Amino acid sequence: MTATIIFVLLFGLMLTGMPVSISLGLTVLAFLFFMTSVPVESVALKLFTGIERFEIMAIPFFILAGNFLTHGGVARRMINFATSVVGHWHGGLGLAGVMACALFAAVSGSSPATVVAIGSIILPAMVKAGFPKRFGAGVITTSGALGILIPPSIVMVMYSVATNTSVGTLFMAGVVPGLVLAFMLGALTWYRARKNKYPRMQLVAGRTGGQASIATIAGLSASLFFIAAPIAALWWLMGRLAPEGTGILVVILGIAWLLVARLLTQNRFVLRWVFSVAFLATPPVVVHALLALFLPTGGGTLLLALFVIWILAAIPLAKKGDLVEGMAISARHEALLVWRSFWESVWGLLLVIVVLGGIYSGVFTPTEAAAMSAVYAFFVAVFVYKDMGLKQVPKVLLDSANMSAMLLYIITNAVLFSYLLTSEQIPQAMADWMIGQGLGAIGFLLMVNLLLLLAGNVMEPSSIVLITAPILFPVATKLGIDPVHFGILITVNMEVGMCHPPVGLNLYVASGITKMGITELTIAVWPWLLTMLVFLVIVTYWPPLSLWLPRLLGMMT
Amino acid sequence: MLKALDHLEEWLIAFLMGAATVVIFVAVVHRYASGIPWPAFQDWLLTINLSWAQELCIYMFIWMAKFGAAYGVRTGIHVGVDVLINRMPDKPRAGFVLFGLLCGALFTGIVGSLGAKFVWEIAHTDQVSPDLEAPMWIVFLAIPCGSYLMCFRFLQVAWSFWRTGQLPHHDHGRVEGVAEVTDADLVPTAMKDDLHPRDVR
Repeated sequence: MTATIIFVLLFGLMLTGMPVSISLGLTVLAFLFFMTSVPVESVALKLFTGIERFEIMAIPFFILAGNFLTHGGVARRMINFATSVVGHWHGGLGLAGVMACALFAAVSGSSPATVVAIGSIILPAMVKAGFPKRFGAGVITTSGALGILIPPSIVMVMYSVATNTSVGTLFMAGVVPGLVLAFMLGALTWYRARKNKYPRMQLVAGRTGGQASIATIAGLSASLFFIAAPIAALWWLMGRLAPEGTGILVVILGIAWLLVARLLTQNRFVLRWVFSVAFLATPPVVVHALLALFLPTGGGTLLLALFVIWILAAIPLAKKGDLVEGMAISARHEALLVWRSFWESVWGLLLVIVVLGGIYSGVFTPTEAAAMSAVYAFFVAVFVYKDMGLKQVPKVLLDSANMSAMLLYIITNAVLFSYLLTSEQIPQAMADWMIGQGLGAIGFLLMVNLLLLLAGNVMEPSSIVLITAPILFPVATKLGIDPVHFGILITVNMEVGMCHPPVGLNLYVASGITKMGITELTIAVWPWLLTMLVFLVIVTYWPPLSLWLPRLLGMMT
Repeated sequence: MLKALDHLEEWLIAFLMGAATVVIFVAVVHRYASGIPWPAFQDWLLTINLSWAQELCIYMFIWMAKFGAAYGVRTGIHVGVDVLINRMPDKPRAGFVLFGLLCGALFTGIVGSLGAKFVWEIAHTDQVSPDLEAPMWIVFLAIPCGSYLMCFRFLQVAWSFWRTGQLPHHDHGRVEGVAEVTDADLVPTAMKDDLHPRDVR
């Protein structure tokens, strides 16, 4: 009964179009005033103490970091890097768009921000390259949704606030599904581009796709090798020499190495050596790492054996020449291009390591990682890339504060609302009722998906998560659904909701960039949206997809 | 007078945003820097106690949230469920929009008054915050001040809507400083995203 009154009141107020935060707050005030003897005074205190938690403060920091990255030229360099890696395949720029969105998603926590950052640069470029407008808009609108699935993610922070799930674990759980979704969207892009014969980047005349791929892989592995190998060696050496205080010294020396390495990347001899060593070292190390991941083997003997096998195989390959194009630098245009764009964008890419590595290793709490990434992004934007002047900083701060304050205000009122629900014991009652209906885990998850997709038609993600999570969560726990899996499922649902009308922020942002009508955009988006729905079903009914990585890392049992 | 208030509000929230970031950054750097066995320097670092940084950051962000929410009313950033009312003819929609704005003013007004009463009571105790040891009534002052300001902003927006039929619009798609995009590609259009009410002509 009370539940009905509360929800009718809430939805009634919401449908009049007033801000979601105000309707949540007014519902609580009205209910407490008319229906109970709870003193209304407690509301004011609750409005303060409700968001007095350090975890929530990750949201403004992530928004600030994202804004610095968008304005600071990081997105542009990431796009160049992605284009150099996947641009030679069918649908080149489209695929690069998917990859750039995935990369940017790994440093930004919001979907519309990802669409703006990547789309505003790559969409005009795609139209210029001869792609139909619809194709580009479809790719970017949906790939931008990766922003909230690949960590960091503001929606995941909201979920963790509403349900007390660990943010770090949620972030790690988002990695694999995010990569899988990026792969699925990329595969569809590739297929459609191939079918319709859309342009691809042809860098060297007469080069086949396979050869170009090998060259880019060579360039990629050389870049990774050059950045990681000295630091790994340093780590190992320091660990032997002075185990105490190794971590911080390695970080400092690592940064010093990066500064030196960037100066060396132009040198011909360095290049030649790095490419040769990377060519010899990368395949055995990668195979060894993959084997160690799935088999309980490992150790030096296996690595040595792999080295010998690879060198024996590589000599005839290198001699044959037409596959690897010899060892001459001039013949490897694509590899060099990847190398250059990698070192151009390395400061943006490193942020991924700062955030995820920092949280996983316990160096930072998620909120601290967010603050660090905001400072880092500011530094990179203003002093390294210099795409942004100090004069623009106050404007970025103000915009970020505006957006964060809006989200924090919704959180404040949602916490107030869930306090009301809890004190009236509504979540428990609803959980008992739903289980009493004989709803199993499978039926419940189906219902949750439908409910959230429906909610996605009228509300934006933060409000949906904050209102529904406290109600659905107890049922999920009672049915034995893992909280982390449930969080990822909700996040994917939110992603779908952002890409379809009538309320889909990604769509509106894309429509602002491309000047296409919403109806036309909806048609443009549907193949990718369908893929996302398929992916949603996979995520919902196959928990290991989300839970595998956090379990492997020992973050949950 | 109003212009000054506008600027004060903008400067305050931008400052709080930046300052909180710097505070947490310094605290984290300090935590790790004081772990390195530098002679003399380490002793000096260890004498600095930054355990209050987290609390200060939280309070700064709460202040930012309260005043930022008021600024958000002025910029029209608060999202609502406008699917239904945006499909109505102008006349009833104007009624709903006004109703929403006045409800906002009502809610923030009530909360502001409750907060003011609360602050008044707590000012007569000597409660201090756990780490910073700042008087709690100053910390809680964010609620009445922020809410009353927000109430004022709602009334302001309602008044100008009543007179001109126009609402402040927030634009999600605007990027400044992206070199490749010419202005023609990104003219801020009033987006009909159904999360914000539309103007009445």
